[in-house]
Amino acid sequence: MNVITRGIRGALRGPLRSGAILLMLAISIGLILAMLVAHSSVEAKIAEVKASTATQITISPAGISGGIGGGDALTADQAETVANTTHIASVTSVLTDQLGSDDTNLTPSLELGNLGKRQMRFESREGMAMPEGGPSESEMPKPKTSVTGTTNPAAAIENSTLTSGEMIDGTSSDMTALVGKGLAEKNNLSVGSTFTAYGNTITVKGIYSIGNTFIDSGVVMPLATVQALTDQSGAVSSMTATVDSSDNVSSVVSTLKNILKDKADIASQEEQAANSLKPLESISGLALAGVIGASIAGAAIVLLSMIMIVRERRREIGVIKAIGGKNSKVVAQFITEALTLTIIGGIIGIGLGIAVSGPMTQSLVENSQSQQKAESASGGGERITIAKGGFGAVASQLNTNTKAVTASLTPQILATSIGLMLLIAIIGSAVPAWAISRVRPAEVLRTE
Amino acid sequence: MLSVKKLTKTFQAGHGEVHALADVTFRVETGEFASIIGKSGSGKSTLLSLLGALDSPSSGEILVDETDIAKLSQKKQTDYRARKIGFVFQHYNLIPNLSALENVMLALEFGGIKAAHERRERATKLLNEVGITDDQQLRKPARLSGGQQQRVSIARALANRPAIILADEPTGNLDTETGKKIFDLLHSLSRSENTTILAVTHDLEIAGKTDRTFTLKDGRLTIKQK
Repeated sequence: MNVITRGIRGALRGPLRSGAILLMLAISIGLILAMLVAHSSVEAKIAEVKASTATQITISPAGISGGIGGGDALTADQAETVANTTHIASVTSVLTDQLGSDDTNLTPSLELGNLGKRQMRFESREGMAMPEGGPSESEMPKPKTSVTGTTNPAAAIENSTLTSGEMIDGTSSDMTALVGKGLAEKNNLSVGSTFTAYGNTITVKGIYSIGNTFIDSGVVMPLATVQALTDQSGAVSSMTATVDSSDNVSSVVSTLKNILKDKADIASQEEQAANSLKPLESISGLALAGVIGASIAGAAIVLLSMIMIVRERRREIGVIKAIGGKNSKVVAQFITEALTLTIIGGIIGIGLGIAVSGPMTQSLVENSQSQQKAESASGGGERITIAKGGFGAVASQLNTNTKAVTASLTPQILATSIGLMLLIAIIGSAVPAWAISRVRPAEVLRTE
Repeated sequence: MLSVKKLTKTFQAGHGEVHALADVTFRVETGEFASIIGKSGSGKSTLLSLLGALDSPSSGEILVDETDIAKLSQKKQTDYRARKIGFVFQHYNLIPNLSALENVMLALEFGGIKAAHERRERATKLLNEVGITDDQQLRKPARLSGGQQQRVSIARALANRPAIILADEPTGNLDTETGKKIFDLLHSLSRSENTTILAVTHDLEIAGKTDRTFTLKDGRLTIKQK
C-alpha cells in the first residue's frame, strides 16, 4: 500500500466525520461554481450591451427632440462630415415627415384621443388655448400619417421580420415603401398595392408589424425618396452614428460637438447604457464576492478539518516518523487525505453547482432588477416626465438586459472551479503539513 | 555493538535546567538482551529516545557500529530509524486504520523494500513467527487483543532486520501471563536473530532474566548488573 492509497483510506476512515466534511465542502464548491457561472454570464451580457447600445450616438438638429421643437434640418454636407469622422463605423440618416389629407390618399390608422388632440392643436393653433368644451368640428385637428425616410429601413422597424413582402433599399430613390400593419389594414393595402404621396404613386413592397401602434401606423421609405418628394434635398432630421468601440464614444461626441457646434444636439447612449448596466454590474460584483467568499470558506473547512485530523492523529504521525517514515511521506499522506476530501467534495459540489447555477443566476438578476427599478422610481420624480433617457428608458433597457442573461457552464468556468478546488486543498493542507513536519517522534515515547 | 559515552540531555524548564541524563556511559554487545530499570522520571524514556535518534543529546556520543548517530543528518537519522532500529512501545502504537499485515508492511516500505509482494511475504512470515494467525493478520488493531497487538508490534520492529530493538515497557500494558510470553518471545528473537535488545521495564522479575540490567536514578546510570 503506497502513500496515496493510505491517504485515500485515511480520508474516509470515519464515515460520519468524512461525510460532514464532504457535505460542507460540496456546498462550498457548488456555491463557487454557481457564482462563477453567474459572474461569467453577467459579464458576457455586460460586454454584449457595451458593444451594442453603448456605441450609438444620436445627432439631431438643434432644438428638436422627439419630433417636437424648431431648428433647421441637418444638411448633406454635415451628414458626410459625421460619416467621415474617425471611429464612426456607420451612420443611419433619417428624414421624417407627416402626410396630411392633402398629401396622400391614405386614411390614417391612428385615432386622435384627448392627448393626441391637445398635442396636435399646437400645429394648427399655435399659442392659443384650448377652447372651453373642446374645439369645434372644423377646428378639430386631423390625424396624419408619419413618413420615415431612412438609409436603414430595417432599423426603422427595429429589425423585426416583415409580415409579408420584402425589404426596401434605403440607399435608393425608388418610389417604394414599407407600410405598417395598422395602416395597411385601414387602407386595404397588401404587397404590390399602391398609394399616392406628394402627388406620386408609391408601391408597397412590404408590410411590417412590431407591436407598437404608432410605428405600425407609419410608412417607411428610402431617405432619398422622401428628400425628393418633400423638396428637402440632402435634409436629414436625425442621424444615428455607431462608434467602433464604447471606449471611443466620449471622444467622438466631443469631436462632433466641435464640428457641428450649435447646429446640432448630440446625445450618446453611454449614460443610459451605464444606468441599465448598473444592476448587472452589481450582480457581477456580488457573484465575484460570492466566489471569493465560498473559496475562503472551502479553504477554511479543509484547513480546520485537517488541523483537527492532525491534532487527533499526532501520536500516529509520531509513530510513523519513529519507525522510519520520512517527513515528506507523512506530509504527502495528509495532503492526499485533504485532496481526496476536496476532490470528492468537489465532484458532489460541481453536480450541485450545475443544478443550482441557473436558478441562482436568475434569482440574483431578478432581485437586483426589482431593487434597481425601485431605486429608479423613488428617485425619478422629475425624470419620469422625460420621454426618453429617464426611468422609462432605463427600466426598458434593464428589462432587455436582464432577461437576456442566461446562465451557461463553459469549459473555462469548469476549469476555473477545479483550479479553485485544488487551490482550496493546497491552502487547506499547507498549515497542517507544516504542523506535521514539526511533530517530533520523541513526543510519542514521552507520552507513553 | 552499541556504545554510549558521557551522554547528557538537558531540558530547559522555566528559568532553570533539568538534567534528564547526566554522563551516562555503557556498552551493549551484539545479540545481548539488556534491560533498563528505574523509577518514573529517572530518564529511561529519554535514554531510549536518544538511542533511537528520536531526539538529540546535549552532549556525548552514541556509537552504533562505530557511527555516532547523534552527528547524523536528519535524513540519515530517519534512515537509521528505518533500517537499524526497531521500536516496541508500551501501547503498541499500531496504525489504527491499517490491518496487522499492513502495519508490518508499512515498516518494510520505510525500510526500502519497493515490491509489494516482497513486503507481503516478509510481513506474513514475521507475523506467523510471532504467533499471529492468517485470519488475525487481516484484522485491524482494534479487533486484536493487547497481547496480539504487541506481537504485531514486535513483528513490525523486526521487519527490516534491525541491529537494535528498543522496547519501552513492552509488557507494561499486559497481564502477567501474556507479559511473560511477550518477554520470552523477545528473548528468543534476540537469540535467533542475534539482535541487540534494550528494554525499559518496571518489572524486576523480567529485568532479572535479561543478560544485563542498567539502573537509572535521577538521570545517572548507577548500577550495571550482569
